[in-house]
Amino acid sequence: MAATAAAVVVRPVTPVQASLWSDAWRRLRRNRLALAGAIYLAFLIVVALVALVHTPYPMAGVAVATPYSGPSAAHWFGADNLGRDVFSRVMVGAQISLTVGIGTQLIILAVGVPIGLAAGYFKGWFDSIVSFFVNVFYGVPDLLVALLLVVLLGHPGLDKIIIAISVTRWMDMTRLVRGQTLALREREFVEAARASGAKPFKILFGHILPNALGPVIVQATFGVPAAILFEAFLSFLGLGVPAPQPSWGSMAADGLSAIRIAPHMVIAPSIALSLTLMAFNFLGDGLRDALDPRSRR
Amino acid sequence: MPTPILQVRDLRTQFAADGGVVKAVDGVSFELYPGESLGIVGESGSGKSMTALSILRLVPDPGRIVSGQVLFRDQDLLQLTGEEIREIRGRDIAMIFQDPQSSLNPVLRTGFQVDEAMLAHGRPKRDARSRTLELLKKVRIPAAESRYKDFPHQLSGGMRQRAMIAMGLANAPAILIADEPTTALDVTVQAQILELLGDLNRELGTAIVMITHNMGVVAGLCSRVLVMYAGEIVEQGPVEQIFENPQHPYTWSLLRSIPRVDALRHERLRSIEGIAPDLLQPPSGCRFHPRCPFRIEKCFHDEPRLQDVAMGQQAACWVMMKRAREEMGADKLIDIRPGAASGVHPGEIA
Amino acid sequence: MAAAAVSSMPAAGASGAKVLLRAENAVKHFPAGLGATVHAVDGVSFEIREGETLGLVGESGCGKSTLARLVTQLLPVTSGKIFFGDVELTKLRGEKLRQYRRQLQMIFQDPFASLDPRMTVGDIIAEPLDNFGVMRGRKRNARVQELLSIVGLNPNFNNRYPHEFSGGQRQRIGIARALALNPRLVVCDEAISALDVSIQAQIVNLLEDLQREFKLTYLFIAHDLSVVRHISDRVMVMYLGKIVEIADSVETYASPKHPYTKALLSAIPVPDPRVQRGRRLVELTGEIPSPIHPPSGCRFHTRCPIARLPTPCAETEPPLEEKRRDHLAACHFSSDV
Repeated sequence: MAATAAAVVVRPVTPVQASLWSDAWRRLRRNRLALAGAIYLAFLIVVALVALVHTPYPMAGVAVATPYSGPSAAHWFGADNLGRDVFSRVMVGAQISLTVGIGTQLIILAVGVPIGLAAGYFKGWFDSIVSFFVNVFYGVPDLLVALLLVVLLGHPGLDKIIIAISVTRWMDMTRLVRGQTLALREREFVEAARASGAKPFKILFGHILPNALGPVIVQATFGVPAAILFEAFLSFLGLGVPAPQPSWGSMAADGLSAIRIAPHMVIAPSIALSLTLMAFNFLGDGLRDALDPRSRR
Repeated sequence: MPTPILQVRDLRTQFAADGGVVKAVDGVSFELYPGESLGIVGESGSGKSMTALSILRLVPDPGRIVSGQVLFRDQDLLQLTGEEIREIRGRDIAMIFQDPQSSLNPVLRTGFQVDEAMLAHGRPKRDARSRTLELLKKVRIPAAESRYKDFPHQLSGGMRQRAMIAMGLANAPAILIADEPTTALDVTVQAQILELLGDLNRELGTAIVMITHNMGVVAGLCSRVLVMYAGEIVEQGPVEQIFENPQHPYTWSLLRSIPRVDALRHERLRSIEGIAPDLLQPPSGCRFHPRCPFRIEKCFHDEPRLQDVAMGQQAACWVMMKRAREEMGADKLIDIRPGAASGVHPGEIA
Repeated sequence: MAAAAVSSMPAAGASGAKVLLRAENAVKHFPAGLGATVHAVDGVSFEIREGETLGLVGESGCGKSTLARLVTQLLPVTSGKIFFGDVELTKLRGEKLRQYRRQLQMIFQDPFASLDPRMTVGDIIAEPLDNFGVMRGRKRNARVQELLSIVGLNPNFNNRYPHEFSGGQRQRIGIARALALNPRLVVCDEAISALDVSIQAQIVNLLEDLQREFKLTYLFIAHDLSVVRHISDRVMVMYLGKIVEIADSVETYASPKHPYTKALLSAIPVPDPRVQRGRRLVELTGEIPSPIHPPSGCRFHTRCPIARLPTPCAETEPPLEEKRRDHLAACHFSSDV
């Protein structure tokens, strides 16, 4: 046998050793917009973390500046109707937006991934039930559900908002994972794993999930800005985080009545919000291209 | 010797890739004579399909024909305008592909698509339908009248390929290029299609260029064959000679690597060791030398050119099988590792 | 190994040889929507003898891939029985069935789809070992390296990923995985169909060497009868979910007893122009019928050149019976073939 082995030892086609993940990372780094988005988000996270321990002025401190005063060296983004420092409040707002965005996605991942995997792999009655609920939730307007929940859960707060948004947004992820699982379970390498004696748990988490992870990451990345926007919208309607907690949405709402005399009250949180949404979307696009090179063009 | 109907001269087609340029077709020259049936054989990546696509300038992006000439009736197809080459396609030179499913429009009736092929080249609309029916009968589609109205998905794979051939013949072209037309079909259907192509070649005098990886297909249908490896022609000649007395070690090995259905003894297959070359960095010298048992030192750095080895037969090799047989005992060879017969290994090359 | 370059055709597994796997009237039907049923495998009985290579050929849609999955129990049978040795596999469920997978491995058609792209080659090959907790740590890695060199790959490739390899190399990886647990039966489902001609020969030779070395039994499935004949001791021909002929591979060619086998043989081009031009094609009329509505009587009667219609061919289904010693065919008129 040794002779056969020696006779046919052959070289691999490419000399570099690379996993699909490191390949994806290489492609992502080449995408300038995605990279810019990632850098901005890293900066935003730092800002949010700093705001935990320090803001230039207390975010709820009234009359630290002249009410409605515009941007100045002391107050970069000016002051609001109560004379609070808008810059400090935007910093804290970043905390809230990121918590809502990432928090909802974590919940959605925790719910959607296992349910989607199980529904797609085992099919049958479980899948029928899951599909039924997914369709029901798609059927009712998400704003209505969120409003109802916020009211029903009582005592407005960040946790309630995260729950309310998660309840209205879990279906996309579940459906995506279910679809991926349905497709992957028919692939030959999954069949090969079964043939080699793999148990369902190993097949689901060892083969199907790693191969579905690319689209899942992309979906979650696009889910973050959607959740942030939804929170801003709820806060804008006055159903968001309770005062004096500043959310970019409620700050913009507060500023709207004074838009003629103090436009910076609307502009500052709006720009922060827009940049953040854009950054996540560019990053999501970049991740999609990097994780699935076939979908490009 | 009659005048060739098609002359390909030093054709080069390249693809821009991540790590450089893939030379898919690298200096291919050959002639096609009127009414003949020419086979182009090779494995995947040999450049056989790209050669065919280059003739009609159908090379997909990001491929580019970088040089060469394709002379058809004294005009160079590579110099024509887009409008002019479109006129040639389908009228003078038709092409059929491996997958008839994707070549037919799924939302149009099959017969209508054959009509279209004729109308596109200015035939009168009046007799299109009757001529289409005649063509469908010619390619032996049973119940042609009802098939005329069928959509492509209602036809079987074999029927779709027949419909494609009918479309190809719609304007009585001088040349029909068939790119692996039977690879996706079952063997019994393949045999029928091959027989049909052979009959059409004889009856209509249409020259056929058959692109295939299957030596059996060539043996049954073609009168002349080009063998391609890594973007180049390594051997060409009349089919009988190539099969009986191949002079290039690649052709020789390839023929011995195929099990024959009519074999009466179990003989170990003679595989070709190693893997197909990476066209981003093709081997120096002869491109087959990393897999060739008969290589000599010269093969590592000098590229051999096609030279006459027999009447009408040419091969590109520094050794040739005649010498490999006489001096290296090729026929009795058991060890088939690269350099095994000649004893030339890379370590010993200066 | 080299000395075996030319040997006589392997003798047919004598009828006395031990039976490793036996199928009894195995049936697999799939729902096709609107209450229709695809009769993918429709009552097949055969045996695989210890140490032999049983070839299985047929055209697309004949049910050969489904049969491969019934034999390996990747799909449950609709009815019928499959025995592995004395054990009725079709009765086993869950963990008990899983334990039998150690002895029953499979090599898949597509060398690009059958390896998990996110796993290293070492982990892919070791997966069967891991699934049964056979070896761990250094011993496991040593086994992976041993398997790599057995299939002719560099043992140090274990940290690489499948996409770095060519089709032939990937198929070697799939073979190494199938061998990891020292199985007794290996089902090769179109294991070489996706490969280039010169690479096919490499893999066929490798499979032959491994069989000799490890005393393997193969069920070798392909649509290419010339390859199947080359590698097999006995050949089994399927048409529309039924076995139409089982015979020694030399005899299959020399004296087929079913008109479909004869037509299939005549359709395969021989790579020799002088021979090929003298051969006569047994032309089959019409198309392969749909497995949703298989023809009555003999399923081949709609295309058969020697059928006598309507009686008996369109009315009575011919049984698969011994026409000569160890040569089974299902045809009313096998002496006319």
